[in-house]
Amino acid sequence: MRMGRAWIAVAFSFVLTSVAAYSLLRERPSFHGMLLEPPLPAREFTLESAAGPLGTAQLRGSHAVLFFGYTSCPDVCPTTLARLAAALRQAGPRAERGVRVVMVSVDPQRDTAARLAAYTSAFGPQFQGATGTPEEIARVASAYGVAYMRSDVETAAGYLVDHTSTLVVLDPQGRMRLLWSPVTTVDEMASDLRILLGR
Amino acid sequence: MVSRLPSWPRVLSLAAASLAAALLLVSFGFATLKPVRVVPRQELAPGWVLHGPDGERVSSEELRGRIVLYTFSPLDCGARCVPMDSVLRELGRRLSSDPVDGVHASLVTIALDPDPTAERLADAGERRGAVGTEWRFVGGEAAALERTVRAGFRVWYEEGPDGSWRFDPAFVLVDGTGLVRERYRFGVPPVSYLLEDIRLIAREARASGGFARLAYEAAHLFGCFPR
Repeated sequence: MRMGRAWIAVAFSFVLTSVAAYSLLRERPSFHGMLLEPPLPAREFTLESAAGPLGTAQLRGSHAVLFFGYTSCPDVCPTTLARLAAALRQAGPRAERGVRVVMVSVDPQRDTAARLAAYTSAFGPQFQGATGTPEEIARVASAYGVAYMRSDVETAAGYLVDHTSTLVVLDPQGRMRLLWSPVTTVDEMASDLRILLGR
Repeated sequence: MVSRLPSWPRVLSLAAASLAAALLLVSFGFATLKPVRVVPRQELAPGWVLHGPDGERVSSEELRGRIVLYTFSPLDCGARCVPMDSVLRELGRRLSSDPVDGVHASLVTIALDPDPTAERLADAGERRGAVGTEWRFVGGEAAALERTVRAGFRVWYEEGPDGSWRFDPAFVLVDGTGLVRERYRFGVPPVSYLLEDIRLIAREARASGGFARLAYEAAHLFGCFPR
């Protein structure tokens, strides 16, 4: 009889394991961006925004998305920020309330804190701009794997700046959690945000 | 008759215990047998813009999608760089003849001399055997080197008053997404180590979709590293 009970237990645990494995694999949230597991420490920085100092210390406590761009950027920056805004809306009220987006300017000569604030606020209240001296910006950009250089191409709006357009997602503890490439879609970003925020 | 019926609390406890044992066994097996091996993700590599031997601007962005092995040395390095150069020449030759698992890899040596001319970079490439391989020399102004090499890659270097150099002859392996995957700080690593790590990163980049991705994430979690 003892053997009979043991077999029932084994069979039961087999069924339980199979069900758990099946639901885990079927339902397991899968990130579309590059998940950093374990999260990587983010380099500390403090820059200036229209509302005062803005950096890793101010971003702690909420998820934040870092993007490096500039306000005279004709294509990549506005589309990336618009896609992010759409992803936040799609991810739901928790994402809209709880995720902050910071565009760090790679054009500190032209982008003042006020100009950045006027530009980023068009995408939503959770969007902010940060700037600093050219040396500070160079240091922060390099620390986040971002390369940028003034392009030789001149447009009616002035010179262009070529730059990396990868997005870095920081967690509330100020660690790097996820990287999104520029080709990550709105649906994919929204899905990742839902997983990060616990649905 | 009644006594033949199982005692459900006991069955449940047994089931929970065997489930926990199974999970423990699987975890232990994964961690010790390392069925999937990965090179750990360490940190984000710095972004940089420097210039190459043709005077062209080269940036980390151009290398995105490729695995890059970074080294750091003055252009006139003398006997100190002979072992390093020998490994890089061999690796450069092997990589240029055959992409590793379909993924391209590059070797980049960042010159520690501030503001080297394009001619000096080209000359160093020729003298040290980089020409015709996947190995290239880049350089830049002092502030960019400080940011990229010292602050970014955390590689120490110093030029003495007599023009001699003291530096950390580190090798840093960066994947296609721009993450540092390995730092070889103790001596010059053998070509076989480097090729093995490049191959593992290439395989992970190629195969880590769908179910395989879970296995790779588990490998990172359980520390299934090659060495």
